[in-house]
Amino acid sequence: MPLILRGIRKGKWNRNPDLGWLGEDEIQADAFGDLSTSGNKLSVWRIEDDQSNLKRIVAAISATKDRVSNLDYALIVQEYLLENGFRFDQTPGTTPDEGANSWHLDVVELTATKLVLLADVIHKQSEIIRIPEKTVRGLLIDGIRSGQFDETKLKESLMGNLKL
Amino acid sequence: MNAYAPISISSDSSSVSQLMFDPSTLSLADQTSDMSRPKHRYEFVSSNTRKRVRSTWPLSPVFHLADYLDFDVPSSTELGITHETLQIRLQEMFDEARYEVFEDGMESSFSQNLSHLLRFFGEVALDLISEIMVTKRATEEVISESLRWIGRIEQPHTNTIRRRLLEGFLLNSPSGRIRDGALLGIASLDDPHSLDSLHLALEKESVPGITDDIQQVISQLQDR
Repeated sequence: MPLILRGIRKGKWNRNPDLGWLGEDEIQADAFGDLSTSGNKLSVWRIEDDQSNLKRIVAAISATKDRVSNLDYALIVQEYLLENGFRFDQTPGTTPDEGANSWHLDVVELTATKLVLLADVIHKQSEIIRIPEKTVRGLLIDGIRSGQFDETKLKESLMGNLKL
Repeated sequence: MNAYAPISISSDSSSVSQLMFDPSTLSLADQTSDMSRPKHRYEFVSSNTRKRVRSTWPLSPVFHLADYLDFDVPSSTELGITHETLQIRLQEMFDEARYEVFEDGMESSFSQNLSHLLRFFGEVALDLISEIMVTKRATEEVISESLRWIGRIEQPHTNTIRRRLLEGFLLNSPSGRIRDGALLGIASLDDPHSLDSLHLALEKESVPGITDDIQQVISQLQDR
């Protein structure tokens, strides 16, 4: 089944954090900072069943940054979201990788209630992954050398940080 | 002590103008800036140290000194910046940052100012920043973000002090978010000398997500 990838900051989502006042199944309020919507839409990426496009999407997202960094994300089974009434529109991504941009989606018609549900799904049902900075650096360098990225769209600060 | 140190400049195609140095932002502001002016070659002379540097003026009339200086960093005293001034400025930065939204891989006003001050003042700034963080005069998110950037800056002569600072927070902070930031800083620093501390942290860590990440960093440093 296809998966949905949403970039997050893992530190806000760690389960059973050492916060005495936080309930067992509760989410820190700060985690909602990772679900910032615009026009009641949330940007996500579609990952193929076999995750064959995962690395390329990780590289593409990282290529939009100011500098090389770790990438944290949550992977959610898309079917579960569809069953819970979430709607998706395919809208092209804006990364320097034109090929990867076709896998971009917007979760649309989001309400506050749905956002809370989405946060709950991420907290309880997703796989939360961290791709380390060193791995991201390797993916970016490979992407540049293979011509995957339009280099003119990479930020100068990022190129400087890659030290090619 | 006067906090402003006038720096005179000369240019290959402009008349000499006086720039005022603002220690709070470590920036030089050209009072007669013309945004349409193309890049020119300038020579900067510090009136305090008499040191000279040649640089190309950026399009923006305000630039960060640390980006363009290519001589030895003068002491804060030479620049007319007191320890107290730096302390106040750092605390202001940490206070203002509580309202910023941080994103992995993206610079922020806070991260840019922090990086400039660390590059410019090195150990002095690190000591003051450490004091702010240890005494919890900043939010957990801001401290976590600081620790990430402390690991990222390239400054070989402060590698050891930065590594020890990061390891200290990884081992001793009661906040999972701060430990996570310290771990990311250690990963960026990429120094195998951190392995002992990482193994110790692995034994102590109570948050499963952070345990996984510690193991990941251990693998990274062992594979160097």
